[in-house]
Amino acid sequence: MANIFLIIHILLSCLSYLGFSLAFFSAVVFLWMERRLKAKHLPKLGFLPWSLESLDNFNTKTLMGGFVFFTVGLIAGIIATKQRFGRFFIGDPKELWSFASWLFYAGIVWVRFSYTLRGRKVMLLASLAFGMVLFTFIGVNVFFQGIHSIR
Amino acid sequence: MNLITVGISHKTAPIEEREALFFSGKELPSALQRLTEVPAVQEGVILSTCNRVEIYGLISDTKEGEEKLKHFLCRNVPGRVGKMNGKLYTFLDDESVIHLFKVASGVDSMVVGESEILGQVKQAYQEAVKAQTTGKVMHTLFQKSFQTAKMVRQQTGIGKGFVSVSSVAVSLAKKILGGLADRKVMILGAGEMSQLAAKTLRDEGVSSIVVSNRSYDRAQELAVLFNGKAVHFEEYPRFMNQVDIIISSTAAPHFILSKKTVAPLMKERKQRPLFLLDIAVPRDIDPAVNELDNVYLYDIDDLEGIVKENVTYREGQLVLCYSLIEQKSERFMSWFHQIRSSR
Repeated sequence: MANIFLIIHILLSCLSYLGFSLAFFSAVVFLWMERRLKAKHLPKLGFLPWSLESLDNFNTKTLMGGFVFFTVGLIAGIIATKQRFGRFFIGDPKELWSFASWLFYAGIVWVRFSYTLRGRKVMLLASLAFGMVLFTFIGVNVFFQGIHSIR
Repeated sequence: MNLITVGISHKTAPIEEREALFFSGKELPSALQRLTEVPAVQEGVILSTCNRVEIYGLISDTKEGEEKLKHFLCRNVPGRVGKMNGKLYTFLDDESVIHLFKVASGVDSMVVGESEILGQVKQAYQEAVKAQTTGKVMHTLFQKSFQTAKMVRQQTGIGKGFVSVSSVAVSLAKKILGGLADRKVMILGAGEMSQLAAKTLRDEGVSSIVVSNRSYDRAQELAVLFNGKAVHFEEYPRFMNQVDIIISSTAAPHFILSKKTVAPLMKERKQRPLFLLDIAVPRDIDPAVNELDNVYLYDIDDLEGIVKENVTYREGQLVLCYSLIEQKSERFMSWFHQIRSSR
């Protein structure tokens, strides 16, 4: 029988990728709009239907959602590892990159909710963090060998 | 049997001369009645707006019809037609059709591409229908003009972008802050410009307005007018962290807001976005303030620059509009020729 924690791990990881993708998408649109508004050089055919405020809200919600799924998915992954290998951590490259990404996103959530940063800088961080998630998702499989490799 | 347009517009005459020929809504039914009594006129519609007064008609004799309609427009005041010479224009048949299609599409408007005119054309037509001065030809012509206007607006960029300073300012505020319904506004300086800005924003439904002015009495006057709150000029910085939009138009000879004063404010505001409109000349706000994150500063030149860009863009769409209008008018004219030869 398949390990239930492994299934939860995969399911939640996918959901978290979805959340982070949406957060990334809204961040890119926000950065484009913000730049044009600051430069006072508006697009001729008008902006996309969203406002900076609505993009910021959407970004915060999807990023938070992604972060919660990511956190629970990571815990499920750790338990699944323990059941299969007898240890919580086995030093798999994807494992390590995931922890690093988690720390990055935790940092973004912290600056966003402590109101240290808002707007452009948070969006830049969200875009960078998504790059890291993409690498964790795809790049690690290509460049490293480990339990997540596609054999 | 010919189609005719006789009229006067913002392109040919100033307002003083246009208003002498203006038909008010009250006058219109009786004017339409009199129009049908004019010999040679078979069908007719009167379009009377602040920018144009025009009669569209179907006439049996071109020369007589034109003369009679000009006199009708000038209320048969002796000598007025001669005085208005060069300001009244006449279009016949296909030109008349093209003109109506241009007017309905907003192409001929003072503010190119404005959409209000289409509603006014529709109303003029409905008034004529009510007064029973329209027949098959006017009916078809006006229906085609509505269709053409709709198509021109959909297929070209003639109505795109905002083309007045206040509409640009409101659209920017909405782009930055989202809805304006629960937003708070601060007005610095109680001049005419501030009043106009406050009125525009109140119409957009902002929740509260704070007014501050060097003369407190004047601030109070304006505050009462807009259900707002007056604040002494020395105290306005205390309220700055509560508002989302600041409109500044004081008579101060130097900057009253600088990067140094706004930066700590943004921290206090927890980086909530702030939209600053500096409509004062000389300017009230140091342009460097725009460099701060989450602060969006626009001065009067920025707003006028955007208006100009949008107007230029709309004007660039005119060629496309004309070709669509010409196509549609040709189709109408071939129908009209058939009707004419069958009568």
